[in-house]
Amino acid sequence: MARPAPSVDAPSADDLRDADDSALVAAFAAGRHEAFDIIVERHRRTVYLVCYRFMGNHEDASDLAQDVFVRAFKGLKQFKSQAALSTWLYRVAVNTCLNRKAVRRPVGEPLEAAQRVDDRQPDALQTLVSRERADRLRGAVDQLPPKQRATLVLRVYQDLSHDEIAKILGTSVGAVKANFFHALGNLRRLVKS
Amino acid sequence: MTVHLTSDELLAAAENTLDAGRREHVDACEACRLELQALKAVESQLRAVEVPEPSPLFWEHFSARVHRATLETQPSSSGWFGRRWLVSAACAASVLVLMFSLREMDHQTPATTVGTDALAIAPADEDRWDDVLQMAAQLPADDLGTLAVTGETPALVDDLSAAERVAFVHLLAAEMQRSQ
Repeated sequence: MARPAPSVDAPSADDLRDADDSALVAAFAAGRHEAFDIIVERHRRTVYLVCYRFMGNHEDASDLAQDVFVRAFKGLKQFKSQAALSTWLYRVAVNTCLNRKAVRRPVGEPLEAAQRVDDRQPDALQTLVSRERADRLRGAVDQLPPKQRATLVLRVYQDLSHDEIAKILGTSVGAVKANFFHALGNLRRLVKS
Repeated sequence: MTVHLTSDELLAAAENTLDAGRREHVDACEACRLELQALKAVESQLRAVEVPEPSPLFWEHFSARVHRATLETQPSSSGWFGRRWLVSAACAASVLVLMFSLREMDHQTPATTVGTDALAIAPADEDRWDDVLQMAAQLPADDLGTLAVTGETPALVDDLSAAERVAFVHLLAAEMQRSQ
């Protein structure tokens, strides 16, 4: 893929560090690969966290986050700059997570490892209980239907508004609220059972 | 007795955006209050599940991995002889076929002279070689057109050594004879 040469008055690499997302997208479209490196640096943590919430473990989250950025790299030239880059990246991340063919159940810490907790510590039991509860919750989230899970992750863990989530998932605000409400209701039942 | 909260209203109450009138209902209605408490409890439990923060070293490696992966998504340059030679040969073949066709139109040259004519474009004949390159840059053929836009065509063919040009001309002659 031959890329056009950068224009004479294109910003330097240092300038790009201070550039906003839309300027980075424009620089990338002009053939400057380093602009994408800065996009990665800027959004990698958010993308990783979304992937972690879906996958439940570091290894899968790391691989999937990389996949998200590779997909973003391939599709960035088609990105319409009317939308925020972060919204678009969220969409790529959610779709990548949902489309993953072999979605594995979240991997909690193995029981043997949990048993190695030093029982001389006064809060050891509390730590164990917290871990078990977290594992149970992760397992329950994993059982939710895809749209409910995506809505829940974006709402609870990314603190996005219903409106932002609707844009990311390509649905209505009403549908987002309904999915969120049903997700919480389903989780209540799953955790109880 | 007022109507219980809808799901939208329960969400609004959990997010503290419920209007005052309906908040009064929550205060007065135990069923709605319990429902709201349960909703908030689940959300609160979810928020308490933390993600271990990766180390700074992980982020450095991550960026490097993504950088490498994005480079791999671009077409690989599989060696000069493997790729550029084939592209150059395809381009120049097109040029020579076109040149020969034009000559035939101008001079009504018999078709039997094709091989001779092609071979006559000897590597040592730099003027004629330049003609080939000039025309290559103007051809609309797919590969050649792309190369012409980027200005790479003359450089590509110029890269050929004398021995490669000889092989090139033989290849073209064979190609033109096959097309007769």
